[in-house]
Amino acid sequence: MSRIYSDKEIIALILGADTSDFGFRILVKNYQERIYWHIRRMVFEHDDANDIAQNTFVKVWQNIHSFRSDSNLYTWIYRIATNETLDFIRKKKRYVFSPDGDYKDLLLKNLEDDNIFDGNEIEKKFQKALLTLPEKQRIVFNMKYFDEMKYEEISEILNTSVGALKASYHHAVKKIKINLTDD
Amino acid sequence: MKMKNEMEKDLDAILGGISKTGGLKKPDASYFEDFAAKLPLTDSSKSKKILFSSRTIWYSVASYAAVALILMLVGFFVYDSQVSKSTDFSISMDELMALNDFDNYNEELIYSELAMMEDFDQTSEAELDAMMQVDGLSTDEIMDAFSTTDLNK
Repeated sequence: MSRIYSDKEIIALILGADTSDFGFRILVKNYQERIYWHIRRMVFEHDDANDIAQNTFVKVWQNIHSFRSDSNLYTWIYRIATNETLDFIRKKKRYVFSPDGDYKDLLLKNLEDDNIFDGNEIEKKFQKALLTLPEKQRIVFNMKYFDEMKYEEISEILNTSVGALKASYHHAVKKIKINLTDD
Repeated sequence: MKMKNEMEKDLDAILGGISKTGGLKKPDASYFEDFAAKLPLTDSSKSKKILFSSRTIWYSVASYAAVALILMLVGFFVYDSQVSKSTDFSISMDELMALNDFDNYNEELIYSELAMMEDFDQTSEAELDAMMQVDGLSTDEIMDAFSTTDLNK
């Protein structure tokens, strides 16, 4: 029977001299799964997602003392995770010199790897359709569709207007539908 | 708004069989249980107030030493090149010609000089003494007589 702590309580525990470690472990427990899947849906490979998730929580740990308590902890952590993920993808794109193609081709290959992907044919087709989207549009789609976030929350995380997000999601859904119903 | 809801419903109908993982393989069951414990967190990573850890001090000491060594080596090479420049006794053919004015030498002059040298070689020690008027003089007197500077001053 573990107690559920609010974000404010977690921050208070972390800032406490003797409860810092305990508070941080609660924070990680509360957010690790959502953050992990938020990252994993973008990079596919578990090891990459694990590295980025670790970096995210280390950064949260390092900067929690300067975190403004009037902000939303949830959106702050998501924002760090998103930045870390996009940064990782940028670096990967720069260093993938595969003769077979670019980073997106590498992700497409991952869908054939049983250690990474064990979904059905519809899911594979869906992932392939998602890969036709630009990274930011893919993130918006994932946050809205899988994490069921509100546009206002996504807007705070991605620092993008609600209108632009709605348009981005609309385009994403349209492209995915076309790709899925194509053949 | 109504159109978007319909569009999303359409998508839901198409994606009906899609799981929350989107088909990506789930990590081991123990992964999330151990995740927090495996985070590389230390007190030093928590606080940014420590500007110089012991490691960074050693790094800075080593880098200062390396810079000092490089400066010393550069200084040595500059000094060495200056010294070698000033003690360079090599002389070019043009400089040698200019010094000796070989262009203005003619055969007769060279032979007459050689003849003078021969004559000088054939002069006896007594004749030399007489020529130089040094007979009977002490070494100090000779030195004084032939000195261009007044040593007593």
